[in-house]
Amino acid sequence: MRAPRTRRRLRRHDLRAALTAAGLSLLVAATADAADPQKLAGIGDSISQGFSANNWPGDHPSYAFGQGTDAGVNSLYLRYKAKFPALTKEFVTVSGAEMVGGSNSAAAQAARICAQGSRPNRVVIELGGNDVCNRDSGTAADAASGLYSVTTYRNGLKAALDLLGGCLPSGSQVLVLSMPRVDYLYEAGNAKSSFLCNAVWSLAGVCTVVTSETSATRRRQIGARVDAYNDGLRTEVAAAESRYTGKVHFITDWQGPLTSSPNTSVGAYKFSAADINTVDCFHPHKDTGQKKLACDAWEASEYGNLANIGSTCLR
Amino acid sequence: MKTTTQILLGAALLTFSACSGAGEPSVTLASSGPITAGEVRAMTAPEPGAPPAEYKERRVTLRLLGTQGEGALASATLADTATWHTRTYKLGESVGRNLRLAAIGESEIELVGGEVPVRKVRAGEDVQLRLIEHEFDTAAVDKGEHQWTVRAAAMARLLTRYGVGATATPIEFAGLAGVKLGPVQPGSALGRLGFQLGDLLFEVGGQPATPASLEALAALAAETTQSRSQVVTVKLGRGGALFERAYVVE
Repeated sequence: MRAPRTRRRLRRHDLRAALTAAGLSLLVAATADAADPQKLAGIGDSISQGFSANNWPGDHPSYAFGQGTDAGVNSLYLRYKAKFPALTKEFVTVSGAEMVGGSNSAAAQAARICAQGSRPNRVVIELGGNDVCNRDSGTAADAASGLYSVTTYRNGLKAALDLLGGCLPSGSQVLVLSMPRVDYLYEAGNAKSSFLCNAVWSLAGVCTVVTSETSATRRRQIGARVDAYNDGLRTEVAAAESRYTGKVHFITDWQGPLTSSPNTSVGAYKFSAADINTVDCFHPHKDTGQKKLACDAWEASEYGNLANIGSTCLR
Repeated sequence: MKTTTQILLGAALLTFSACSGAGEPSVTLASSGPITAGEVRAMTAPEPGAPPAEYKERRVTLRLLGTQGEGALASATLADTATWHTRTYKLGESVGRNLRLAAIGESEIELVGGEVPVRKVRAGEDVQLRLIEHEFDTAAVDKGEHQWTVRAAAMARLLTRYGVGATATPIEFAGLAGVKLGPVQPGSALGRLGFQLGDLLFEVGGQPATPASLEALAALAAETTQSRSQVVTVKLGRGGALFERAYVVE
């Protein structure tokens, strides 16, 4: 098990002090350590685009948890920029994107980041919802049988992580957020307004694999697949961390499912009616859901503490 | 590293192989000339009545990301490692016009094509392929970030042969007036332009969408009298998200 991030930073600082005192500062500079954030990039979907975050239809990236400029959301970008005023950002997020499928997959977006003239040294990845929501309903025996396998999901992420590991400058960091439980989003929408939200979902075809599923048991089958995706995500992040050790850090907020680690990550958070917007009853609202995601992403970063996510962010 | 297998097909020399590690295909495909009549006859999914001149080859490296489902519902997800565009194929579906997904196992697939024997690919592996595609297959190409390129001449012929391919009914969503698409016929103009059942259309070419907009969009995509390329934008909704798609018609 990895040591908590705060203790790892403390060990690095103690080491630096000791080596500096010994006149070995050049050796410190040559060892692996995170470079200060200079540019932030993002890979993601409509959540990262702040879709309908202000209750008006459409993308509103100013209210997005990762790239937003709204002080109320206090995005990951604004939090980094408060510490490093020269920080810039260039997100490649696309509404409708999947981790795995289509022309805006995680790997496709990673390739666009690698092609940027000035490459970032901080990247946040938020994907997965459309991988579930774009799929057909499963068989009578298994509601999740129409979804991507965990292997497919992991390999989709792995391709992106390998592209980033290969192209990002030394000292970079990639944060991969867990994906939300779409069955919990369904429950939040029903709590908000069962009649209106179900009408919107039906008209607009919002995540029909869940919203048109009348069986709570079957919705939980889909939720269990999401937990499995997030477990696989953590495994791929750890593997990438090992492959690129000394060059690029890979981290995630996922600490386990709600049953064992409630409210400790995006994937383990039970959304409330207040967290989602009134346009599609599914995407996070700027004052609540997006703000909480920003907090989660920050506390999962090198300047935060995973232990704070449950007590400070997702409650 | 697996043994390399070479098959001579008419004037074409095809070589297939696969390494156990992702991202390191070991195959070098020999060059080939125009598509021959023999290759057309051997295709797994030829375009009805199309002569060899309407086909082109395309060299791709595909990575098998994984498989899912069982029996007749099984599928395999393949990514083009040049663009990282990903597509999921059902059992029995053609890959290009000359290859077919013949079997799907747990984390493994079998591809067959014409006289080429079975080729197995495991999840995480890359495989270099020579795909043969008809001009209709590339009449509209998704470039990512909601940007498409359309070859008007090919789209015009496709529209003549397969029609618009969908109808729509008026709706209102989040205060926006638009139309909702019914079933979209695969291979039709709307199908090739990336539309699917349930899509909401709000604007076409800057005009509010009506049921007649589908035919208008298809016509714009097939407009061959323009001397310069034109951009046709549509505002659509899918799965609750709204976005603008741009078709660059050449």
